[in-house]
Amino acid sequence: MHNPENLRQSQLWALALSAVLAGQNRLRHDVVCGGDKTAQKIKMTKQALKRDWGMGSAANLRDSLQWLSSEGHSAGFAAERVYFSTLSDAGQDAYISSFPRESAEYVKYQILKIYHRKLPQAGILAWDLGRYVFLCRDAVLVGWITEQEAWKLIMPVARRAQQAYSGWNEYGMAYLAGRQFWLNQLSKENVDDHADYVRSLLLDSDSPWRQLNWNMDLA
Amino acid sequence: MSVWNILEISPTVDTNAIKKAYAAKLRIFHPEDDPEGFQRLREAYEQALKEAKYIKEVEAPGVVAEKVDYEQHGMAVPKEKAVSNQRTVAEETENGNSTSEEAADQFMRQVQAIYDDFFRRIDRSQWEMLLDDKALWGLDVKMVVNHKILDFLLDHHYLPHDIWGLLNDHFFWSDRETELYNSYPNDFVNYLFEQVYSSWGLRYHGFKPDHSCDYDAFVQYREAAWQALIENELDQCARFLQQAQAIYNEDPDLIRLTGVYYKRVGDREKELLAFEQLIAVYPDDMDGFLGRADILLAKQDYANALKDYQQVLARVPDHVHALYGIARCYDSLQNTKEAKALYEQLVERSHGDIEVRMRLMEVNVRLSEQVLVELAAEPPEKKELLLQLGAIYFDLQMYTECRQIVSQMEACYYFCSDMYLLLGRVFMAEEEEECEQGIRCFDKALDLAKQEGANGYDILVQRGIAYQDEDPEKAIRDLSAALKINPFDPEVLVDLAEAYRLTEQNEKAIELATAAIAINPSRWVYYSTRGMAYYEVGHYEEAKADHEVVLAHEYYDEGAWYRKAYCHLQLSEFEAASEAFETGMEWENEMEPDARFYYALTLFKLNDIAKALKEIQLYRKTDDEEERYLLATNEMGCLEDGEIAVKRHLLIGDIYRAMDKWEQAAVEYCAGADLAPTEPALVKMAAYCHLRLGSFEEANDYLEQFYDLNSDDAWGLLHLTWANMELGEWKNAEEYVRGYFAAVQKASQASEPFATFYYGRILYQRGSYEQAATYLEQACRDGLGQYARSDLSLAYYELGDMEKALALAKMALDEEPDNIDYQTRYRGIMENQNKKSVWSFFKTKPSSRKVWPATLPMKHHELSTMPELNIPIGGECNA
Repeated sequence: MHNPENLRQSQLWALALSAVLAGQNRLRHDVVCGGDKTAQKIKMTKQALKRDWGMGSAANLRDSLQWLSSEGHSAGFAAERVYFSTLSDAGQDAYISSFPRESAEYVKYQILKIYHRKLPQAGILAWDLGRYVFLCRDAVLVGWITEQEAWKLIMPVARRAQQAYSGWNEYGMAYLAGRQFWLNQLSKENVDDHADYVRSLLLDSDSPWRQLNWNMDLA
Repeated sequence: MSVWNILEISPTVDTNAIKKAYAAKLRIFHPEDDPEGFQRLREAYEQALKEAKYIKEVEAPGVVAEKVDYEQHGMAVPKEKAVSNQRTVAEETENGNSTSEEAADQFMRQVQAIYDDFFRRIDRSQWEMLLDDKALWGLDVKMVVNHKILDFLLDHHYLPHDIWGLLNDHFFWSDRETELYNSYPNDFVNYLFEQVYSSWGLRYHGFKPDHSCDYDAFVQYREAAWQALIENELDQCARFLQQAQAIYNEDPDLIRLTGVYYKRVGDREKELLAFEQLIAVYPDDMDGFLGRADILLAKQDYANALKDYQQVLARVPDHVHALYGIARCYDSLQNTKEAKALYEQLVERSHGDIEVRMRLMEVNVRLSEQVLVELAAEPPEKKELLLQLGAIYFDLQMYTECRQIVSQMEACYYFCSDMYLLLGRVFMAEEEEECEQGIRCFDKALDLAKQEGANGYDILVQRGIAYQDEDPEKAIRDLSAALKINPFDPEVLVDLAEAYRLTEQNEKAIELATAAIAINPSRWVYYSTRGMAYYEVGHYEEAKADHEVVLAHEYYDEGAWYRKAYCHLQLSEFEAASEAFETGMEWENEMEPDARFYYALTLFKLNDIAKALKEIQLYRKTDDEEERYLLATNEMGCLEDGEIAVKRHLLIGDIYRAMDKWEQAAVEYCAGADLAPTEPALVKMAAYCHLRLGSFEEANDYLEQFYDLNSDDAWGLLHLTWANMELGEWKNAEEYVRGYFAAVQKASQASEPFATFYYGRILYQRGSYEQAATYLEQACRDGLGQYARSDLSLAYYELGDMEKALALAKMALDEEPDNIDYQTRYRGIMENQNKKSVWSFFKTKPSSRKVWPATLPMKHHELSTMPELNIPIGGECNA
């Protein structure tokens, strides 16, 4: 990472929470806005915010950020996990089998079965926090908030993520598990895509996940 | 109707089979909806049981006498059913006669007795015996009992989950949901249905009859603890757990819930203790080992975690989480290669698990780092290490690094078959697939392998796969060679099967894929290859079964849904076909483009005509220009698009016919026939519709087209005769009717009686009155007198036989007094009979054809019914 904006390590660390989304959108991990602020990019980002989040203004942004930090999809996952984890292993299998194979519930509980023992208490919070950071970056790009305001929003979330997970790998797993849970899909193609998103972050030597120590001081 | 007919089973001594049949029928003969039916069913059930007993004891004493040696047969010795000391309700009631209320009360006393004795309460056989009691099956008793038992259960509901199901089977609560909600508190009814519908409940098998304690209180606290855990009310949960433990601390579910609680509050040590207790108390239950293993893994006690995961595997050999745990342990214990092998297995087994993929990547990275360290020391086995590193980079999809390794090897002159094999695979795997270069590498690899004295197995496989899409024949050559070396590699078998399938040698493909499945039945992709081959050759049952396996693993495979749906359609399983088409079309990605066509066909067969029309109209619309092109190119061979375009017109036409919209049907068939004039079905249907609509000119055009396609077709010839008669083209009509007679004779078929009548009329019109009379007489003898008599009278008129002419004209008129033509002819013949002497003087009489032309529509045969659908499905023949 070249860090052209001379961001602090802790700030780069915080941006790295949104690395999967940034990678999918071919954005830089070391620039707040992900790259150059061109008129075309701003326009496309605004369209994407409208299309994917129903967001048209800074007011919408704050609502979405509030939702992500207080509830998000992780609340739903946690609620399901709370019930599912009380069943015995055989009971979990019986529960899953009670749903028709083609049903949304069947897939959802398959996802829970895969991850409920592997995820820490925070569950798929990473999915919400990663998107939170990415939204802040987009908001700076389109001019809804200043960079300073963005850091004020991002850094507490970063500290929260650091407390919730033990390392980048665990964070990455939780993020992707959250994405699967949101999509409610377990097809091989879907999983291949997810693996692709994270491959370079895990393998490339200049990936933020390999360069930035998970336990760094974020104060 | 015998009792066995009512139960719909063959006579049997198997009481379980009788009970199952009875239970199945209970769903149909509901006591409240069909009390008589229910009574008959019940009587049949009891009689069947009696007869079974009779057959066993009297007619086949040998069967009864034989004691089953369960252990010899490897079966668990069944528990002996608890002998009930209870008298039946029937025995209890005085003289066997009582009011329903009394009988119900007796029943409830039995219920209370069972419930109060905890170990009887949790014994299913106690409830089965009670519910089988004869006295319960009087309808009046049953209704009273139903209310009483619900009232009882309001305050006494701690029962094993399967007993709730048993009670529901007898009292049909699931069919009376609304009534229950109206009559009982919501939370009780919710609880009841949760027990009835859920697939799992807290177990009652961990209690000890010789251990005296207040089990009733225990189960209440245990259930409360569970509920609190579900609601994440951890303080409450702690209290209930404590209270339950104070009564009885050896229940496996309570211990497990305790472990879950401590996990929630983050007390790892107590969590560990709980699972250790679970293992000690209930070692057969793998939850203890799983729970402890996970904790030990988190605590990095890998050796002991490994042992516990292995205990889980000993109980459930393919337990995915245990395999994962073992892989993690191996990895942490530096058994990196073993860990990698397990992760690779897990990627196949649990393909939805991204975390396993990530772990596999990490393991490969560590392996690569280990190898790099070894390489730094410039060891003598450098070549092997470089190859190993290259293979790891390949697995990590680090193709640039992989190529660099190969370059390094080339620089060191480490040319070998494995190096070129690796490079070839890189070329094939990279995004910009460089197939040719890849194949060249495989060629070099194979040459070197021969020099090295190796058989080149892996190279043959990879080259075969590379050729699969480019040159399937070469793929067959290479993969067959690989198979000769190792006939038991299922992956190669199925790759070869795929190559054969691509060259349309589907039977061979099926044979090879079947061999692959026999070796490894768990790989769903094998069923995909075989399923597609079965599909291509029209073995729809087999294709359907294979696609069901595929979809069980890859639910979102639209191609598989389409093929499965198509199979159902061809097997006339229209409901299933409809469901499968709908499922496949749910997603945004396009299913097979022709899916909508076959879906419309399915809907037609399901008689959902309006929806069929809607779907076929949504089906890709092509304008006439494109259709002409598609159909023109069809001349070069079978082009699917052209064929589908033809079928689309046929189907839409058939749909309009089913809706009785004949004009629209005609438009559709004609449009199709105009575009595909060599398609007999379209041409015929176009003609048929126009005949029905009475548009004979148009009908004649299409009939002539149809004639051009098949000049021996009797149907075509007969209708051409008729159409030409309607159009007054008598010469043509004569030709066609003669053709008709020749055709039916050639085909050794009986001719249509109307053909004789037509010929007679034609001959009359053509002035051949003698011959006309002969044929018309024959038509009368063939039962068409009502149609032929009037024309026959005219023939005789022309022949001068006035007496016969008049008699026949009168008969015709008597049969149809309102027929204007018959009236005219009769009057005319009568008048001319009187003028006979005048003619003989002038030797002229007016021609009947000119003076009495037909004014009414021609009488003709009834238009035959056409098949409702012109597109054959399965083995249907719609000719």
